[in-house]
Amino acid sequence: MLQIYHPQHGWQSVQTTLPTHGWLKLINPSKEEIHQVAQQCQIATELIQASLDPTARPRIVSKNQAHLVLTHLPLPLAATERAPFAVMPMSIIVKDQLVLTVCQQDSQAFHDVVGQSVATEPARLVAQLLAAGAEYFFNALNKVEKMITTVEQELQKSIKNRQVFKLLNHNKSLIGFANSLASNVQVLNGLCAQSPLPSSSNTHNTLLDVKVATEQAHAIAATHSANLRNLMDAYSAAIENNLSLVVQYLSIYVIIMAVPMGIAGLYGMNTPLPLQDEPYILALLAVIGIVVASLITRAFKARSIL
Amino acid sequence: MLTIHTSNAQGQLVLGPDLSHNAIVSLINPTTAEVDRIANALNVPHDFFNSALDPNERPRIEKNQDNLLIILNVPVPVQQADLAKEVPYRTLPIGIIHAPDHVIIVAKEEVPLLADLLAGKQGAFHSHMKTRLSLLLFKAIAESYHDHLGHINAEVGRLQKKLKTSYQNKELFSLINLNKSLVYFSTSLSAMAILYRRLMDGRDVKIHADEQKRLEAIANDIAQTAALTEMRRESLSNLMDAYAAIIHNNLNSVLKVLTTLAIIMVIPTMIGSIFSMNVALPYEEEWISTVVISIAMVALSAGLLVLFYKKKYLRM
Repeated sequence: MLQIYHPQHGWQSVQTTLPTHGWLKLINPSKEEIHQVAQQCQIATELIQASLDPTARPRIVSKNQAHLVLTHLPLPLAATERAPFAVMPMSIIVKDQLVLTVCQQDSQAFHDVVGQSVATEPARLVAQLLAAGAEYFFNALNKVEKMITTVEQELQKSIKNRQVFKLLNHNKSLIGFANSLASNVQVLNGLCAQSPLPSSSNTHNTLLDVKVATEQAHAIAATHSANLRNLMDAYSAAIENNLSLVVQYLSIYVIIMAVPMGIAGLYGMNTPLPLQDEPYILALLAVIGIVVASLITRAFKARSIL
Repeated sequence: MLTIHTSNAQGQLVLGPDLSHNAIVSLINPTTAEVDRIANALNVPHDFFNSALDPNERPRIEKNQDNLLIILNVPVPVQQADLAKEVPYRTLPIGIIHAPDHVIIVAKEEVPLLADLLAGKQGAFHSHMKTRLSLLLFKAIAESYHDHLGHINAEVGRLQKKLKTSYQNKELFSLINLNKSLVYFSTSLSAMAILYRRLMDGRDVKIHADEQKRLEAIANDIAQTAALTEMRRESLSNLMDAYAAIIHNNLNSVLKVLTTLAIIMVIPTMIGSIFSMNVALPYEEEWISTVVISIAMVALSAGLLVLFYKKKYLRM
């Protein structure tokens, strides 16, 4: 899908002729679209295709006056998937006055940029896109954190391993974020040190801000995932304990029930028993059974085992 | 709550008149009306206030033409937290806004360190010294983190004692919650360390040479505190496994005792069942046999009790 952004009309599909300036967005492009853009904008095909490889590393590449900045964005996964988020590569290609973004799927980050006022100066727009990407990482981190908190609350009562698997999957997202953010920091370091794009000091400041934000996001993702990894054993042990506690309660019930059983066993004997012919003996034995059972229950309660 | 301070001629901070030049405005858990009033009077964007009051805000700097907002995170205890169910300490964003002729401090909750700062406990300042005030605030925050780390350490020590005899998950979950507090601290501290490094290049805030040294010291301090917190978090989460194993063992010894009791109680039941069978049993018509059987039951149970007690089956 090939679209161009108009300040008045928003996104519009591109017809046969491509503009020479502005923001051009390629989402999951077909071969014809890649060919058309490569031909008309004079951008090397491998630059356009760079981000379509899901394992592409973040980097900066320049090739015949076209500059490619490849970074990672969070990618929310469907609820049926196991992990809540993955990452996807996004490339921003700048050629003269044209900014081209190429992505496998549309992203919230693009909408966030449109929500502000889209800059016309290419370097500024690149900084805006990168800033939106960093912000999106923060949102995704917050979401994952909330999910983890929910799972941890479930864990307090759980006797199944499902919650541990959930945590493992959330941790996969965090590890993915941490790796991608580390590479994004490298790319931003490169852009801040020597940007291939002519940029004002204002834009340079924005880039520095984005770098700070990305470093912070990386620190958060790394800390959270390291901690979750360490806690996984403690959580498994908690579940095991929950299960043992259930076994403990069951054992206590067995002991309490053994009392009336014992009495019934005694008076089931075929030997002559005291008071066995009295009419009130059944009621008396029942009362004795209940009293003894409740005494045992209280003893357990007093020792806070039950 | 809106309070305004200004320095008087003697250099003391007093509750000042209305928004005079060089006043320090503190907005603690402000109402919308208060925020509107200050934002309009001092020409500060509303977004600055909203960011500073948003509980998920990370430490960062925001600028426009003539205002600068620095957001920091301070540690706060959660009121009446049940340690086994909730996280005992969180971090809370506070914002300090440098307007052309005023300093505004914004926080969602009452934080003791702000009152101490304005009372001059961190060091003397005049209400027009924005950078100085900000640096003192940085210092106060670093100290506050140190204090809270101490509190957490004390809590962990208390829990360790309890854990020796515990067989419930309560203590384990308390440790997990303390560990979460450390995670919050750790992420906030590392974010602030990154921010201070950025502030040191002096492009956002004008910093004089002597203040530069001060900022450097604070940045180092925060970086060290971040490293320390990270270390504590790491060691606590590694210890957690050992604690979990201890709890599990304690629980298993309870189970051992219960199973032993069940076995002892099975004996009289079994003897009773044997003599209830509808087959010819020796001496079943004699009344003495009941006495003998009962004595045998009691003797066997008592014997088993003693035996199991000796074998430590009945002791935790």
